[in-house]
Amino acid sequence: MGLTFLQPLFLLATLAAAVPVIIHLIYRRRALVHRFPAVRFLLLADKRTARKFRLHQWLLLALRVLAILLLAFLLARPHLTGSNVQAAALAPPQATVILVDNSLSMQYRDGQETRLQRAKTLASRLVQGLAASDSAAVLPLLTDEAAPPVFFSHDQATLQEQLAALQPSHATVDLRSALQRALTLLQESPMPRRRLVFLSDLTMRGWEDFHLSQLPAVPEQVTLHFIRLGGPQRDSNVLITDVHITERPFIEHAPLDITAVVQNRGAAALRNLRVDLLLGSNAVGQQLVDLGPDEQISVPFRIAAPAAGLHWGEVRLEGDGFVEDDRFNYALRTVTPVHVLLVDGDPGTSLFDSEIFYLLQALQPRGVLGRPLFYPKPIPWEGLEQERLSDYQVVVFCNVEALTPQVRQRVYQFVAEGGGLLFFAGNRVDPVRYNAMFYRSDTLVLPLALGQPIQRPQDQPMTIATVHSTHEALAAFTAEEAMLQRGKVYRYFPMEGLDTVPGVRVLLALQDGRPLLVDKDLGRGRVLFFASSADRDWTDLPTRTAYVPLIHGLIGYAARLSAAAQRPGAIMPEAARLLGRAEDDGMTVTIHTPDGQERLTRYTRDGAQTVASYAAYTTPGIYRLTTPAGADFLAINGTRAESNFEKIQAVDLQARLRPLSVVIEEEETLGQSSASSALPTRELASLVLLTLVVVLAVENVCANRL
Amino acid sequence: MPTETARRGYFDPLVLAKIATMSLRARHVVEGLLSGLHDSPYRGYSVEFAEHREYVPGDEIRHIDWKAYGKFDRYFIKEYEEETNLRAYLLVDASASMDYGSEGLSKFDYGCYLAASLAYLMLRQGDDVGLVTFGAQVQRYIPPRGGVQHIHALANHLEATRPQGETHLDQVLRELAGKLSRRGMIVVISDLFDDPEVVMRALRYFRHRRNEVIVFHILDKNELEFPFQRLTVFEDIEDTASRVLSDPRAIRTAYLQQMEAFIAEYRRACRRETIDYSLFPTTTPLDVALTRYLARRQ
Repeated sequence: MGLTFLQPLFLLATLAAAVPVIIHLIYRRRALVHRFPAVRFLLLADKRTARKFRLHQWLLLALRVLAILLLAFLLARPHLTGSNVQAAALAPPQATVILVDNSLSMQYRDGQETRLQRAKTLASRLVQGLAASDSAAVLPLLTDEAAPPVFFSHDQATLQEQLAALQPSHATVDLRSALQRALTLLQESPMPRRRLVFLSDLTMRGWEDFHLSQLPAVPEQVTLHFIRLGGPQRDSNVLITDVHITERPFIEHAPLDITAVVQNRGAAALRNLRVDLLLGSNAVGQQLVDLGPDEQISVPFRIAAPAAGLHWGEVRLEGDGFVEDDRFNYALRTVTPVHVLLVDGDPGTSLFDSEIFYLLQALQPRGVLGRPLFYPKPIPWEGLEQERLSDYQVVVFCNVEALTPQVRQRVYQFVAEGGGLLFFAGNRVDPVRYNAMFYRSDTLVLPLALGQPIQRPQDQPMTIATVHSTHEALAAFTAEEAMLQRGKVYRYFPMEGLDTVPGVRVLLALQDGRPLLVDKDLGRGRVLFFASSADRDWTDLPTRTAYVPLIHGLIGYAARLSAAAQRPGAIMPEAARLLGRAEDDGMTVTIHTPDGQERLTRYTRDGAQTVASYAAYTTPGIYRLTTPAGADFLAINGTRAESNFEKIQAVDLQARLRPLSVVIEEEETLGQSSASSALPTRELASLVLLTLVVVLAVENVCANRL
Repeated sequence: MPTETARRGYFDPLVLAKIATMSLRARHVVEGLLSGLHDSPYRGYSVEFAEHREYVPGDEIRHIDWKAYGKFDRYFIKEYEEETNLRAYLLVDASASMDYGSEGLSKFDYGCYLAASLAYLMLRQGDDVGLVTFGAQVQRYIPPRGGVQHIHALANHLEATRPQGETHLDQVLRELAGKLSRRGMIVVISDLFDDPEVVMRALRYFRHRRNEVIVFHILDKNELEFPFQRLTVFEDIEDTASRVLSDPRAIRTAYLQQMEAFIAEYRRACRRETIDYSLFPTTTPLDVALTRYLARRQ
């Protein structure tokens, strides 16, 4: 028969037994000194009473110390491992596999401790209760593939170490393989008695499609003990399932709409639930929401986008029992407005007559709340030599007749280093000269060579037949392709060699199949060629509604504004996909985890995309990336698969584990049910409490008899 | 006529402590007491003429009988036989234990007020009064003298005395026995913290020599009631090596029993020896003590 404690840490409170002694010593030290003439009578009186008094004092001290010890004992929740344990000691040796559920749902907190911590404490008691001839093995439900194999051990210290090392896991619950591992271990044991003790919250996750018959081999004569932590009722839980940011690109100081998706996975309605939005470590938004049972809502926030750069943040819920899904990390990149140089090849006598009039109008409308998205600067083509191209992200040539070799070289350099170049044709463009200037090996910026212009009759204009709306530059027309298709083109340059030149993408094509708009990557930059004019001379597109989103899309694409968006993220344990550029293939990405580790991954080709995959997470949080294109963030969040706390009921569980015999015990009533308990104990709290009351009563009587 | 409250204030030892000198205090008490009595305590006393004798230098001029000078043309001094009823010795305990007081007034202060008041009263009655202060032995002895002016000598001495040392009352009484040749009244003012048997043996000696003995037993309220509550180290005033740490609540009953037995022993022994014994806590008004003396005197 042995004594164990559910809260052994409270035994430290026994040190408080020294308190009455210390108080006595302090009082003795602080005793008043009184000069008194009749000390002789005191000495006579003391001689008479001293013995009785000291006995009385010792009795009081003993009672007080005993009361403190009993209180510490009571807090530590003593349990007597009962006669069953004695009986077990006499029984044949037993092999026990202690399977501990370390899935994320076990991080649910009913009180001070998580369920996993309580499960470890129970398992520890179980190990303490083993007889010397028994052996046991500790298995986590979710384990790393790299984890060493587990064997039975008689050594309690080893088993306790294995228990202490158990950590919560974000991995997907795989009951089949976990039970298979446990049962295989038992099957291999030579012990005459074998049992599996599974400590778990028994949420439905993993049990939905499980049946024991799915396991290839189930040993006979195995007893299954299930110890449920947290009770059979469904636990309440609220979580954030997603955070997304709309209306990209994210321009600094422009409004930013961030939406958090919040879900109630409980049976009770919630009122005034607080949702906080943090940018970095600063709270920038807060909402109070009401949620019905099992309801999911979107919680919108509108904030001003932070200064250009990479940023991370978090949406946070008021804490509930399961805090793991109450936070959602996100990351984003913001940029400054795009500086666009508009080179006018035909300035005209007034702005209205100039080649860039409509372009300027399209780029000048301010964004929402008056924040500009673009800073266009118009110049005549003669002024190009004085401009420093590195001050701009995009240069637009509108009907520019010719450029000097030096300027052409600078333009080539500008694009190769990441700039965007957009050509618009016009009457000043001579295809022969253009091909000679821009379609040469040293300054090859044109995607395709130009042919002689095609003039359509005024009453038979060409219209746009094909819109490559999946292209990033035309994303605005995904659902509205017809907006572009209504535009008429009267004159345009045919482009040659589309089938032979690699890397050229057709964004818009005319009825005759000829491309109207093409693009091609050049170095780290992008070049687009529009085969008609930027004004109304050759097409009526500038007067169409589609013109503004078209120009915004083209300039944004050329300036790579798509990077000014929400940064990649993933929910554990799924792998994060990091998209790279074609030239990044084979290059390395360095990943700095939130807990200070450094990992590497590599870009590989996956069909048309270059992708680096990463899944070796250590913890949810913001992972800092160093990619060939520069620094980036990866927002990783804990699994949401464990957020549903609906429990499997005993009858259902027994049905799934038939024909094995199953004992299901609740944590609260553990050891009280029957002799078949996994941990047969008897709680001594009531006995200790009764003793404490008696001791206090005696102490009170003694103290008042002074 | 003063009210009862006023009278109480009049003889309150704490009120008296505010009066500047001991002689004034004594006068204050005695005059207050006498003004409250209906019958004069001086009735029946007189001074009778004895004889003439010739003047010798050094005699007081005021005693010259001028009528005899007119008749005989010589200076004669009238000599009277003063009817001195009593020769009183006031024995005031000035040991360190008398220096204890719980309410702003020590036992020694109280004893001094009492002694001075008695002395003044006696001197006004024409008695001779002597004073002895003592601790372990006689500290100072002032022989008995008459005359109200003598109060100043007594009072000055009492004021100058500081309690110190241990109490050995039996030794003091033995020492005094040799000095006191004439019968008289022995007034002992003390806390009597000595062995009762030894003390009583000495007092019995005086009593056998037909002296009147009055014992004023002075004790402090704390000594009589022991009202302490907190854990305390009690240190003997006369012997600092004698200490006892105790919880007063635990020891109180036994202490009070000891104290009662101590007082009862003195009371019983004094009654047996027809010694007038009175216990006076230091809170007792002084007129009570004087009244007790007067009752004895009559």
